[in-house]
Amino acid sequence: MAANYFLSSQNRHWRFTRQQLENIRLETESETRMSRSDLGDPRHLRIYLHGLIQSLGRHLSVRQQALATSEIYLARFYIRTSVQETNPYLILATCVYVACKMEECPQHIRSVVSEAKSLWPDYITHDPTKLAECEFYLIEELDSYLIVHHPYRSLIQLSKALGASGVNVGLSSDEMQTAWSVINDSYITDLPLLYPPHVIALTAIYISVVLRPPPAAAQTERAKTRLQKIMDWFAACGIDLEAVVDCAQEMISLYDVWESYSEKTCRELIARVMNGRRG
Amino acid sequence: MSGSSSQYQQLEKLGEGTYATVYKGRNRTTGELVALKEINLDSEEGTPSTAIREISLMKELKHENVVSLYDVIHTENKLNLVFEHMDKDLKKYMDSRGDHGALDYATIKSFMHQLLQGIAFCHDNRVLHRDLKPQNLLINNKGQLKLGDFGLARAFGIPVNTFSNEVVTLWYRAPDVLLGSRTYSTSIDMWSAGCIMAEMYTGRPLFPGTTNEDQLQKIFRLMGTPNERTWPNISQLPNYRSNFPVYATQDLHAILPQIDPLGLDLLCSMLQLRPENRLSARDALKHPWFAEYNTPRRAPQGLDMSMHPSTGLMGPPQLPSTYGM
Repeated sequence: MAANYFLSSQNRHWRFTRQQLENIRLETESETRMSRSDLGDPRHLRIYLHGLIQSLGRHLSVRQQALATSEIYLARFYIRTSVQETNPYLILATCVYVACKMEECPQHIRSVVSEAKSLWPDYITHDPTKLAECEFYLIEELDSYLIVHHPYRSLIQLSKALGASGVNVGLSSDEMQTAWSVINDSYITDLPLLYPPHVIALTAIYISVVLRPPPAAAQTERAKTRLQKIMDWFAACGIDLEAVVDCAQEMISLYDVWESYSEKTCRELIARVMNGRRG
Repeated sequence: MSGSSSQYQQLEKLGEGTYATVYKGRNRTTGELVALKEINLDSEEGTPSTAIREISLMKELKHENVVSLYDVIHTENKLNLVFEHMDKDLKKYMDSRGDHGALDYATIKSFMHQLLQGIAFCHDNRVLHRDLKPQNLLINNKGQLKLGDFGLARAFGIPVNTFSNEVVTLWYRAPDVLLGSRTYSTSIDMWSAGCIMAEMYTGRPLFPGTTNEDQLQKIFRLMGTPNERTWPNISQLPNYRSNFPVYATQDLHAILPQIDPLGLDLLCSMLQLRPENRLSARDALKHPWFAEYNTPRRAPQGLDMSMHPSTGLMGPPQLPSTYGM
């Protein structure tokens, strides 16, 4: 959205190194005396929360851009707050509500509450003031930094650049689709907190073209030449390839972890923690 | 970062808006004056969208011709925005300083230069103000002018076709917006800048329309009624009528006898009916009327896009314009 990414608050205030992120999380754990592992593998929890946002988004017909923004809010919020201290269902519904305001596709507070209630009746009440209060709290926790840059636009621009004359290695619609889904999945990881959007977009292209080529096409000489051209272009652009490789590894390990993911287990773990707190 | 509201002493009320009340305030520690914008929360909407938009944009936009947001303070059921204190808005300034509201040549030029720098900075950062008017331009006693009240501002990205056409106070509203165009862009702020420039010369609003229709008539009476030849595809705009009264273009000099030829040329370039023909803020700053500001020793202080780090080594050269949304 507004402003150049490099001058944005996203770059200046909400970008961390892995070490910084880990340190803040350890601090949060020790302050709240709650361990991340109480809710199982933190990456499984992230997959679960991602799924919740996507299903609320589907019920409200929210466009992808706004959902991506809500995922960033959620990720930022849970750096300094333990999931166990909160009602994650209310927090994520609030993230969607604020993101829709920000992305100028506003949803009525009552429709967000009623859709969330129909999805998660045990955790959401009819009272919209709860969500309004939570919004207030969320904006404060995010330090009012609400404008978010996403990799989708970079992806479109990069694919145009690759297709331009002189380079001539435009992405196929399958490759674009894969790259787009990789970006969607990147919100489950810490990548948006670690890298600028264009690096994530490049990673998505890298994964879709290099790591997941269609098996038949991968064999031909032409495909190999094309791949080489793309890699040359990456190199010529002065891209930090190390960062791209790091991002790609993160995505691959996410897909590995996904194999052992169980939605039911996550739901039950959260229920146990929340019920324990009530009792 | 966030301070507590007790850090500021609330002084007299400065104004009341649709969703906020503005007070003069004083920082108890430093004694510095501030403007406190107190936002009431609505149980049906939570934090008003206009407030969310203003806060988030002001957090990103830091420029000497844009009013600074110092702090956001959350209290029990209110949100307080702490802005830098400015003495007056341009409207009050003209009423108090001008000759029946009209300002002197040097002041007009300085204010226009600062206004355009503020606008250019917003546009470079993909932000439309959408509500420029003398009441939203703030002046301090050092003669600085800053853009304020970003409640209607928006970041422009995709999609353009969903923009609400209910923005910009009528008098400063661009003809394309009045005609119902929903694909407007940075040029709408430039129309407002032109109206404001003329007003500083005369002390009176250039087009004080009462309704959408009347506003268009007042504009056409002076600038001439546009048609398909002067403005291709104008007849496709929702509020276009084939029976608009046909007026010939008037000479602006007749209304603004005090303006010099270069100033008139700049003004006319901003008051182009067809949005595509309107000068951009960056180009307006290069206009010969500003020659004295554009000597190499006094380069404009605004954000120079060529200096952006994004054009450096961090990404492919095609990228810079794409990072924004």
